[in-house]
Amino acid sequence: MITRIEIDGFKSFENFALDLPPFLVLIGTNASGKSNILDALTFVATAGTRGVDAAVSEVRGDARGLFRKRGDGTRVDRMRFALELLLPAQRSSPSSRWRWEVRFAWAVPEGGLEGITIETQRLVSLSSPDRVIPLVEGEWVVREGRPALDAFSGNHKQDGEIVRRIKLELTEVRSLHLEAGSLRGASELGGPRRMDSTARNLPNYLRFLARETASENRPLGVVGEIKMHLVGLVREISDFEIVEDERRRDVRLEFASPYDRGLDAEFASDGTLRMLAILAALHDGGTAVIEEPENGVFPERLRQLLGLARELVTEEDEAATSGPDRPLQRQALFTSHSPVVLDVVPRENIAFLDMTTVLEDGIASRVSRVRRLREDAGPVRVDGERWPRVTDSELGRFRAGVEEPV
Amino acid sequence: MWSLSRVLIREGPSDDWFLPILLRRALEELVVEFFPACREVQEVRPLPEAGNQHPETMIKTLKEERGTFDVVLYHHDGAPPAKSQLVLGRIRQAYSASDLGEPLVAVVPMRETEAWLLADRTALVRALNLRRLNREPVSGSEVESCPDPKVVIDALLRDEAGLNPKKKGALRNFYLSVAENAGIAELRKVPAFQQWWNDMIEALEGLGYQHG
Ligand SMILES: Nc1ncnc2c1ncn2[C@@H]1O[C@H](COP(=O)(O)OP(=O)(O)OP(=O)(O)O)[C@@H](O)[C@H]1O
Ligand SMILES: [Mg+2]
Repeated sequence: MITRIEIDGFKSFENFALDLPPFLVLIGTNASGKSNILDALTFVATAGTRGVDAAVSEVRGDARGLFRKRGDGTRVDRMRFALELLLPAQRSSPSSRWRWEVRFAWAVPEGGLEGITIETQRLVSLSSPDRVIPLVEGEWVVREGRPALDAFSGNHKQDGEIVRRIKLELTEVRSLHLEAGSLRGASELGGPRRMDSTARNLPNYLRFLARETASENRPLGVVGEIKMHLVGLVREISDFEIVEDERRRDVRLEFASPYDRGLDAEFASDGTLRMLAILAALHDGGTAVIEEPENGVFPERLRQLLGLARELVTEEDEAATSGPDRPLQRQALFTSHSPVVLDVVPRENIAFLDMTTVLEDGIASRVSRVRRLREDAGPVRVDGERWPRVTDSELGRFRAGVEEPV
Repeated sequence: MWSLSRVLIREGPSDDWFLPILLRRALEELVVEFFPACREVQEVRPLPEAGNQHPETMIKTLKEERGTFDVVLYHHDGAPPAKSQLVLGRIRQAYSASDLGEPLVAVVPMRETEAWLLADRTALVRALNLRRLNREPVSGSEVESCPDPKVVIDALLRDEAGLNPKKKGALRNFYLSVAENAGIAELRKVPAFQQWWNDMIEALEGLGYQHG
């Protein structure tokens, strides 16, 4: 599970840091950097596990465009990230906390093509602070195609194991920005197991989740739970089936209602399919990153969905102590514009984004600012937080009160 | 690292359409010019609950927001001057008697702040996406002598851009666009604005900001 992200020089971020509890909802004005945070997370996780080229193609924008643009139109040449991770307890090894720091640079090598390179990176143990995975400090460069984390391996066996587990955590970062067209499509037998960020390939993904988590007495594994929750959230649906069609070599979803069996996905409502995709993402292990779950969802059901998401995630202390046959580790990160969030999500699980102006050598640039919400009568200034907390009076904006400041 | 944050006490919702933006942008230029040690200018946040007439309500609201601001910007229209002076005096007195230590800086135009929107002709042309203005409204330092800037703005929208100024949505977005575009140098030619600018410098000096 990822417990903190620091970003500097990527898109709208300058010296930006955000602690990530297992469940967090990012709220804030338009163009304040909510999706940029998700991009940052996807970018750095993908660079670590699949390389820089893959990382660029997974996020919005081109390679150079990812570097922060200043107010005068120039761009920075470095992007710095840090991710802190909690690796859960496993058989013999207790849980441990790690910090991966990585710096990317824009390089225009002589006689070569311009591009993003990794300038330096290191892995620091937060559990025993003077343990730094060796051979990785100092300046060196990894080329675009190679997963950044692979550069760490080949050292001690123990270190290799840590790197492997961090890589696994980062492979399990999945972002979801649903698109109606993709949701309805069938999968192919033998096609990809996971859905993509638009929810294309949802049928196979459900099939995969079922296989992964099935047991003697629960043949559908977590998909059984997904079914139950879908019924609870949509009501007009009583069940769905994953239909494998050998003749057409495809996999489709068929929904059933108390009055109608065999309702093809193409005829299911948008909200039903959206809920199903979100539920699927929430039931998989790892970090699910979900954009604007309120789209196409009735407010009361959104309330229930967010409540459910909170129950599904793994609490930090649980992850730190759980034993050998631990359940899946789950984390969920949402962006939202819905005031419903303020009613159902505890303040400590909300972060508020807007913009601020930083001044660098006389140049004013707009960058993202993130603030936590003030607890009831709690302090406004909190140690280690760059900005004061958001007070109730300011939250009125988010609730879209009668008097609406810009 | 110096970071500056302010709250704004203002008259009504339409002030929120442009004053926070205009004042934040002006402050960015001000600190770049005079206080280079300042590294960040945060949003100017309006406090509608504070009202702007009753010192008790205002002070109570500010106390609840304590810690979120370094400077209080207090806006009141300048017309009629007798009333404006009276209210401002009352507010200042009550404020200094309270235990709020942050400086209070007045934002008081000669008549109405809407006049400030007229100060930069280029910003008007740009906000309305015109090639040019057919009739010149007042501009520069004269804007403040304009008896009713809202009437001038209405005429501008109607006659130059074919917009209906009675429609609030269009009016709001016009205010906003001008606030985002107006040249701060032009605004500083307006005496009341320049007065605010000077008061702001003084307040920042009082906070311990060093001149560059
Ligand atoms: N390289 C860059 N440098 C500086 N700013 C950037 C860069 N790339 C994107 N931005 C800024 O980020 C903003 C968009 O942020 P983002 O997409 O995260 O918004 P959001 O909070 O998700 O908004 P919405 O609620 O509308 O989806 C834009 O205003 C853009 O100017
Ligand atoms: Mg977005």
